Amino acid sequence: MFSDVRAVVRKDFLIEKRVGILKGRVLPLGLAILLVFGFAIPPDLAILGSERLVLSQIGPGLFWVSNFFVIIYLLDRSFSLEAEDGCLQRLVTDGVDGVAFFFGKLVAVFLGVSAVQAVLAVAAIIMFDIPADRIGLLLIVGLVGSLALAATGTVFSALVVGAGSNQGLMALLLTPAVVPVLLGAVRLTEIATDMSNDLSSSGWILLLLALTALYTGVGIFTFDSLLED
Amino acid sequence: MTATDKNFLTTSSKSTKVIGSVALAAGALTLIFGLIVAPPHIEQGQSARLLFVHVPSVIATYLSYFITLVGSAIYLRKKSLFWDRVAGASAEVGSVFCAVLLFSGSVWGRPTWGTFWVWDPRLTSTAVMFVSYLGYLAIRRMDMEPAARRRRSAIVGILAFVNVIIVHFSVDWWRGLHQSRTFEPSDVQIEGWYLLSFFFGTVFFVSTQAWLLIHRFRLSHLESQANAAKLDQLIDLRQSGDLGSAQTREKVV
Repeated sequence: MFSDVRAVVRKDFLIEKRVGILKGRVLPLGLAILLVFGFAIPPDLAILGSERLVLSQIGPGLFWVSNFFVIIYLLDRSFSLEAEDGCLQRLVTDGVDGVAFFFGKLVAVFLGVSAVQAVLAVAAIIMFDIPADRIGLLLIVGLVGSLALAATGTVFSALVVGAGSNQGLMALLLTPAVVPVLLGAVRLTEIATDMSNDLSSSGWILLLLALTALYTGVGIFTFDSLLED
Repeated sequence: MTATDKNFLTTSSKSTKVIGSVALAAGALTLIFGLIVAPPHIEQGQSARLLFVHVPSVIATYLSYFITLVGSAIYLRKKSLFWDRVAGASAEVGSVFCAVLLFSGSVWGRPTWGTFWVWDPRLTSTAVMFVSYLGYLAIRRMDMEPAARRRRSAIVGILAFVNVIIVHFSVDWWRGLHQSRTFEPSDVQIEGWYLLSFFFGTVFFVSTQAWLLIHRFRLSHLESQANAAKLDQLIDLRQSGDLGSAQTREKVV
């Protein structure tokens, strides 16, 4: 099974190397979204009595919302490639089982979103003036949040793969499912950037890990039958 | 039109007529007791009467989504078309009631909280639940092979029910503006005319939910029969070599 997982990840990596979707489209999209937020919220707006500008205070939320849009695009691209020219059927006939395919896609999506997120995080810290002293915690939050987003997104993308124009449908399904993930990731980022009075980050990390485990479980149980479709 | 054709085209039956009559009677009693007999609330005034619509719509929503959960689970196990249609019909009906509960809650919120909407955990999670079932209904209309579509919608039908649990316990898990549960079997907080009006409101909503569910289920059954009949006609036409004419195709499709 491990070799199948590696093969799926390698396949996605080679596609990325040849086509360059991440750096050519996904990353610019993420940066554009961050820029739009900067225009939507006046950069000099501050709440009375607060030392920080509004943009800086809500920066963690804006960062994760941009990640959400980025992952929708990334997942759509990743899974629509599988639906083209009978790629999925070929994987099945080559003996790749559903669980290996799920983990392969999960790892590929996780690596992709983490790479884009790293650049977006630097951009958000600079553009929104977000304090980033607790770099260690920020890294953990980024990795755990990306993993939870990738697990949720991989399951829901597989559900709509093969349907005609599925981008809108995937966003509709993914939005309510991803709400607890975004909530946990935003709260953790606020803690890591000293914007929250809540000092306990372990509960939120546990929530994200539990959601990752839940959707990984759903993926393990459903991907075999979804591949047969 | 023959008697068989009539039966083929109707979704009505003796049971739906009885349930419909119960719903009408309960609706009339809710109006009489809720708007005329029950006095205005001491603190909330006239707006408290929305309780007779809002809380029963919550019950009808939960019930509908629970039926979708059961239907989806049984479909995945037995691959029964009956349960797939039950799940789909119930999600549609549930979403109508969910829209009613969001609307009635907003109307109640304006005089009570001073705003139609607050980002309270109960309200927000209810809106998320509503959107997740709209997603479920969208996946049921996905353009793909029917068996695959049924399997995928069943998976989403099960996953979406997590939202119902979150909505129900949101008032316990997080602090917000929304009051705690109005009706708890072990601790009933309303009495007198309010309890009676609430009872009639609940009977009205639950019987309307059952009435709509049966009709919608039968309608989806008729839809599939009509589609199968159309397909048979098209096959017959193809075999007779008459399918080439645009007028003939239009007549069938």
